[in-house]
Amino acid sequence: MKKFIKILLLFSIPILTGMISTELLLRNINNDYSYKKKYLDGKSNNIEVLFLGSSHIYYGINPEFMSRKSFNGAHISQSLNFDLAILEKYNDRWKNLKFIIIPIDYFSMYSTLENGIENWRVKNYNIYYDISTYGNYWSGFEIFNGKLPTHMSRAKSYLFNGKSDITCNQFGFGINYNSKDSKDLIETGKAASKRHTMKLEKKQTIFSKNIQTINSMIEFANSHNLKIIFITCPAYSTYRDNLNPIQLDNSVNIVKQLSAKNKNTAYYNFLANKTFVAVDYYDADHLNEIGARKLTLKIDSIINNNERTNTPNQM
Amino acid sequence: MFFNSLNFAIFLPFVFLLYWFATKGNLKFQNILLLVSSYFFYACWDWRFLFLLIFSTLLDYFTGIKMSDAKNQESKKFWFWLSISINLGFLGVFKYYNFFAESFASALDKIGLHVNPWTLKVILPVGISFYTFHGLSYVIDIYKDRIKAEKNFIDYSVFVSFFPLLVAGPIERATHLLPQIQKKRTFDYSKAVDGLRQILWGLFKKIVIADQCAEYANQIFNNSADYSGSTLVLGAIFFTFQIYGDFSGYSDIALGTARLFGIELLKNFAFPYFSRDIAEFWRRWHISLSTWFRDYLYIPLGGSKGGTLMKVRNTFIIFIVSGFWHGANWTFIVWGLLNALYIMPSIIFNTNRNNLEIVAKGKHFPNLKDLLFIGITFSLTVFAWIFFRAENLRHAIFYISHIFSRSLFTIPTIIPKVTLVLLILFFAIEWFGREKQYALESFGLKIPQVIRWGFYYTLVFAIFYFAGSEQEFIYFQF
Repeated sequence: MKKFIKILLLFSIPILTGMISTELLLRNINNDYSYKKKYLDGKSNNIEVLFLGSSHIYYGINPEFMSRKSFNGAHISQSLNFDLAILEKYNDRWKNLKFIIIPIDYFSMYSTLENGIENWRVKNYNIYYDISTYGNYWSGFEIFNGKLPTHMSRAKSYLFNGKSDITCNQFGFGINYNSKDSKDLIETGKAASKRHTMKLEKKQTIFSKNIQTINSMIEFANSHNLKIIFITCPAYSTYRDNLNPIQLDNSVNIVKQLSAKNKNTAYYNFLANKTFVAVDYYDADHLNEIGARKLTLKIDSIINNNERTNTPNQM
Repeated sequence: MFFNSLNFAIFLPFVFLLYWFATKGNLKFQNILLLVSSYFFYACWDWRFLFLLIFSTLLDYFTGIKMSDAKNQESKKFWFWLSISINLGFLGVFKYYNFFAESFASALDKIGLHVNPWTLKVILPVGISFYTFHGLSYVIDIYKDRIKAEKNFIDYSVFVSFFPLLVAGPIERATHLLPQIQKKRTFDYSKAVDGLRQILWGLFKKIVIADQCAEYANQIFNNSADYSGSTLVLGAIFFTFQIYGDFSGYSDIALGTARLFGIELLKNFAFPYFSRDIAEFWRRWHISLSTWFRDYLYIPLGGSKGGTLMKVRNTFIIFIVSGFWHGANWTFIVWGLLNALYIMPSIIFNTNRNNLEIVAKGKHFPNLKDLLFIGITFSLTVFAWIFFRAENLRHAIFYISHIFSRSLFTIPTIIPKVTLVLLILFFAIEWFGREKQYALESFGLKIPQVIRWGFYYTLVFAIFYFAGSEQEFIYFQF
């Protein structure tokens, strides 16, 4: 028995050493999560407008064009529960915060990060944000989430080229979706709409949980004297035309109802907004830097208008 | 808790250390530990179904004793049928009720009577088909006076619930497993090392072969209208390797894990894709189920004693039941039927026991005749798997009709080079290890330890490299 344990340990040492050193190395690479956490740790008390949400906001809002001090706290696939977790994490430090912008898109009400195919991203909140409410014990490790080839490529870029994983500008806006590299809008429209269309009967629990999350956000805003603006981000017709109208209506209607009930909320639907045209899109459901500028200016104008009139708007 | 999960990677060493160290070789404590850990293992899926497993265990335990103690045949018969009907009743309710309700409603619909069937909204308890069959074989064996009822409840419960085989087999027999559970087990270094080696090979088969093939098989099957005939053929081949890597990989992990605890489980696979005819394929594929059907269905039906017609009838029955055992879908039934048709010539002409030994035994390569027959058997199997994988019969027919189109002779649109290279390497290792229990059993044992370990490290690296999110084992749904 002792021989067996000895041989097994001997065999495992190189594997364990490799795993531990890879974990440490990966944690050392700066990424969007560590950057945004650091930013919020230091400057959350200065922010007036906070954008949260998924890639639609990450690539769709550039706070550089906002007239108030703003920050884009969105991450790819970030679901409503993680938006709320970020808000609550800095509970007492939103000294100047006046507006929170939350996207309610086609998939938002029927998905959570931890239940989707992107659930490997949960580790980023555990490791870099110290938010450990969601996921399991294993989501506290880099190496057990995501694929080894990706980890190796990240480690190689870091070790040999000194490259970090940060892909956002100083205001948290994702800079990788450039108009020069735009994708085929027809193909991406079909693929993304298919990816985002859910079997609704299987997602009822998630839908109910997301309603609770939104209500908690509204309560949070009430208690901190903030306003929440829910938006549905623009998407190209090839995406819109392939959506399940029931899923879309359910999502839009619930957020309309909730914002109608609460004075500190407003809802704006940009999904089919005609000012967004083909050149504004990186792919069928993400804006590029041109579209992002447009959307940011629109939100800025809504906020300014709201501040002047002090009345919630609906579109 | 899947075998390919991180939780299992913690669970197994923990139970292993407790088993050999904390119990100090006391058989009673070892069995209690195995039972508690097996229930914990099962409860990790859904603790509510643990009650079903315990109920099923209690039922067969008590009816077994009642049958053994019965003073007359009537009473014995009563307890026997009570156990059989409750066991099959559970299986019927959880697995087949919705299928029958919907099929009946659909049949009525065709004659103009529209009914809305009342269906159950329950998930299928994991492993129900496997542990029910465990229990059935035990009860039948007692009824037929092949074994005596087990009086020790812990020992019997370990027989039903032993975690390596609990959710996807191999389907064990009381005559094989119970004596091992009751016998004092001492640690055997070479068996434990062999167990680890088989676990490693099983993980490689599952994560590197099956999951890589699954990616392409799923893509092609889920979008079959978009692909050429040649790509659809490739999709079916990928599924053929997916299901083999998945299920035989699971069985390897189960056998290896059990060996770590000093228990030998029944062999479930014996290189089925090297078979030269369908009869040989079925002696090498899911052996524990095939032999179960042979012993508890085919032989009681008369087996091959009543002439050719009876053999034909009985063969059709076991293949259709076997298809149905896999799931409540017409696709499985057609898959079973197709295999029955495939095997018919050898049943009629009595050639079904022509190829009992592994192909090219003692040689490096097969002769041309064997190669041709392996190719034919493999092609027939690939064709049958299309029904097994398809969503429904319409999908299977659509898939097959698209294969046999002009686009069959075009270059496939998906050619995953890495996966194809992996398959060739895998095939080569399997070929050279085909005379053993599993391909890696003696692979490289004669070469220096440094090189052998280098090979094992390569396998470990490949497992980590290709691992992504945990993929469920296909046979867990059965």
